[in-house]
Amino acid sequence: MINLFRKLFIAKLLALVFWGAGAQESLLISGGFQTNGNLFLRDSAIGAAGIPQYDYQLFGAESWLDLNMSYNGFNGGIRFDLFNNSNLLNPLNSYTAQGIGRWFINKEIDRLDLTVGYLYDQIGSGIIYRAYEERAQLLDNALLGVSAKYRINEQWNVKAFTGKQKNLFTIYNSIIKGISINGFYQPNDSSNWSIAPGAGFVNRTYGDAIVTDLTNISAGYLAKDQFIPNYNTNAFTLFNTLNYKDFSWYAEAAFKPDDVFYDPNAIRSLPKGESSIGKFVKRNGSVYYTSLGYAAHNLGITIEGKRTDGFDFRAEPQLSLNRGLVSYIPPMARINTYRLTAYYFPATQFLNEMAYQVDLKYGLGKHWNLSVNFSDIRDIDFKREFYKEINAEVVYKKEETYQIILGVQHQMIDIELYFGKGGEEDVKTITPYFEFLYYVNDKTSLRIESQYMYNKHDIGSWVYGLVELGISPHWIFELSNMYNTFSPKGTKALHYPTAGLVYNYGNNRFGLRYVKQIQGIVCSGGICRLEPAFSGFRASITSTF
Amino acid sequence: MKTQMIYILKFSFLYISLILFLNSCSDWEQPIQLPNSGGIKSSRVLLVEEFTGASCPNCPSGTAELNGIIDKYPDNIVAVGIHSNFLAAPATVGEVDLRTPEAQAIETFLGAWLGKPEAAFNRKKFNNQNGIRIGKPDTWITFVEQELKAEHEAELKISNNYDSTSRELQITLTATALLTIAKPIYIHALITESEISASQKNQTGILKDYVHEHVLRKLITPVAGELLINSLDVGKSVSKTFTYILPPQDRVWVAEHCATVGFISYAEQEKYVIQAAESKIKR
Repeated sequence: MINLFRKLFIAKLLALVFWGAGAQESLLISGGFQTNGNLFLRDSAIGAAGIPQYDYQLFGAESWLDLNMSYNGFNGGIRFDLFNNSNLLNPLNSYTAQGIGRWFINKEIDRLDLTVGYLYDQIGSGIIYRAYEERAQLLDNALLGVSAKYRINEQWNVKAFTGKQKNLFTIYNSIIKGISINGFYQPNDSSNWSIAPGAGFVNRTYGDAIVTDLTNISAGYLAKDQFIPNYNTNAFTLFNTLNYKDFSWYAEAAFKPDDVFYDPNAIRSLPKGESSIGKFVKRNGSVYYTSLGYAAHNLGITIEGKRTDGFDFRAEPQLSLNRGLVSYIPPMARINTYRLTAYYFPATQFLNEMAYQVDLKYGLGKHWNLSVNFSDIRDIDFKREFYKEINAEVVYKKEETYQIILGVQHQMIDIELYFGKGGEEDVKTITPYFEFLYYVNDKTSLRIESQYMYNKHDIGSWVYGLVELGISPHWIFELSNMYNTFSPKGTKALHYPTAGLVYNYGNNRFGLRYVKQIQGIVCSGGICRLEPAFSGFRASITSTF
Repeated sequence: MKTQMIYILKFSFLYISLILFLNSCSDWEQPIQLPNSGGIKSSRVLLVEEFTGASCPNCPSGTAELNGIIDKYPDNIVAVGIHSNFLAAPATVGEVDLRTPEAQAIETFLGAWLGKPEAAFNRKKFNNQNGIRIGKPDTWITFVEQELKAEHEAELKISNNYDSTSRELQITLTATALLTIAKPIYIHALITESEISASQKNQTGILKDYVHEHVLRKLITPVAGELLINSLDVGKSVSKTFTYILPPQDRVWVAEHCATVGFISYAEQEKYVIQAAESKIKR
C-alpha cells in the first residue's frame, strides 16, 4: 500500500515537472504564404504568343508557404514551393515542379550558433559569397549544408560553412565552403569613430563530371587556347567600414585566382586560320568596391566606385545568366521605380566594368526634398561607355494634404551589351516624370503618375499614365496605360493598359490585375533577365501569420 | 585600446597567413592531363540540329565547332542546319533564302531559346540547361560525348531510291530494337542540302561565296513525327517508306548535293531521339 502510494506520488511529481517544463517553453509558429497566378491571353500583336503558356497551357502559378518554428532554444523552418506551368524560370518556356524548397534547424549553444539545412548568408557585401532568394527571378542559391558561427566576444565573431548550392529541387555538382571573421572596434563609448573590419575566404571544389567536361572542352581547343582545369578555386576578400562622425566609408577588395569561366568576348582560334568569339578561359579575377557616405544637416551624399575584372564565380562553369551564382557584385546604377525610367537598367557585368555613382539628397525646410543622382559605367579601362544616367528630382510635401514629385532622367545605354541587340546604336533617353499624391480625407487618397520617354532608337518614345485610388484600410484601385508615341522601326503604335485592384484585410493581401505589358527586362540587385511581353490576368495572395 | 589593437593585428597576421596557405591549395592538386586524341567508341548516331542563319554573325563559329565534332566522330553525327527566321534572312539581298516554314516549325516545337548559334543534341534536355537548345558552341562536344555514352536502344537503317527523270525519291527507314522499347516510337524523315553557295555574315562583315552545309530543305513527316509503332521488342524490326518528289532544280535542289535524314524518337512530350541515320540521294 505504501509502495503504491509512493509510486503514484512520484508519477504525479514527474507529471508536474514535465507539464511544468512544457508550460514554460511553448512552440511558437509563424510564417507566410505567397502565391501568384497568371491567366495568359494570347496577343500576337505585342509578341505574347509562341510560348507554351499562351499557345495551350493558358494558366500558370507559383506558390511559397513558409513555416518557422521556435521551441526550447531550437529554431527551425520549412518552405513548400510549387510551380505549375510557371514562366519564372525561363520566360520562353514552362516549368512545373513542387516540393520542399527549404528547411533548416538552428540552435545556439553558449557562444556557438549552429545551423543545418538550406542556408542564406553572405561575406562582406557578398562579392565572394552571397546566398539569397529573389522570387521575382526564381533566384534561390541557398547552400544546403552546415554553418557554425562562434561569438568570440561582443565585438568579434567567426563563421564557417560548407555545403552544395541549391538548384531548384536539386543541387549543383560542386562543394562550396568558406570562413569569415567579422569585428567591431570603438576606442570607447564616447569615441566619434569606429571600424568594423572583416575578412573572408571561399573555396569551391568541382565534381568529377564538371572537370571531365572542362577537360574535353579544352582538349578541343587549339594549343594556344587550351587551359588546365582545376578542381579547386579560391576567393578571398578584405573589407572594412569606418565610421567617423557623420561619415561612413566602406571598402572591400576581393580576389579570385586561376578560375575557369566562359568569356563571351575572348577570341578563340579555329583550324584553317579562322577564329570565333567566346571561349572558356582560365585567369585571375578581382573586384574593388567602395562607398563613402555623409549624412547630416538634412544633407545626404553617397559616392560609390567599383572595378570588376574577370569575376564570374559560379557553382558550375557552364551556367549563365542568373544561374548558379556564388558571388554578388553590387550594381552601380540607381534603382528607378517608375515604369519608363526603370525600362532600361544596366545589369552587373562580371568580367569587365569600372563604374562610379554619386547620389545627393537634400531636405530644404519642412516641405522640400531635392535629389540628384549620377552614374557612369564603362569598361575596365574607363574608355568605352556602357551606361550613363543623370536623374534630378524635387519633392514637395504638405503633411497629410498632398505630395508632388517632379523629376527628369537622362540615360545612355549600350543595348548591344545589355540587351544582346547586336549592331544597334546606343540608346539615349530623356524622361521627365511627375507624381501627385493627394489625401482626399483620412481614408481616401488619390495618386496620379505620368512619364514621357523621348527615345529615337530601339523601342522609341512612350508615354505612361497611372491613376490610383486608395480607400483605407482595405482597397486600392489602379488604372494605367502606356502608349508608343514614336517607333523608329515603324511598328504599329499600341496601347498597353493595366487595370487592377488590391484588397487588404488584416495580414492578408489580395490582388487582381489585367495587364498588357511590353517586353523588357526585370532586374534585382543588378541581376537581370528577359521579361517577355505579357497579356492576361495576374492574381496574387500574400499572407503572414 | 592597446589590447584591442594587438588583437586586431594578431588576427590580421593569422588571416593573411591562412589565406596564403589556403591559396597554395591549388598547387597541391595533381595537374590534369589533357587527352591527346581518341574519343568515345559508340555505335549510336546522334541527331545534331544546329540553329543558324545567314545573317547571324556568330554562327560561322558554331558551324566551325560542329565541323570539328563531325571530324572527330564522322560515323556518329547526323547534322541538320535549321535556318529558322531569327537572323536567317539572306545576308545579301537577292541571294537564295535558306529559311523554310519547316525550320520555323522545328524551332517552335523544341521551345525555349536564347539566340543563335544554338544546337540540339538528340533533342535531349540536359541537366542545368534552360531548354533543349544549347548555346556556347565550345561546350557542344561535352553534350555529344554524354549522348555517345548513353545506352544504345535501337539501330536505324536508311536507303534511298531516286529516279533522276521523275525526281521521285523513295526513302525506306528500318528500325531494329536493341532493347525492348515499351513506349510509342515516332519516325521522322527530312531532306537536307549541302554545298549551297550564299553569303554569310560574320563578326567582321559578310563572307561572300560561303558554303552552307546540311541545310534543312524539307520536312517530310509532321514536326512531331509519325507514329511508327506502339512498342518494339528486342531484336524486332519495323520499316516505313516515304515518297517525295524533289522540286525542280534552281539555285537549290541539286539532287547530287541532297541527302535524306531519318530518325526515330519518343512521343512529342518527350521528343528524345533514339537513333538517326543519313544517306545521300545520289551516290
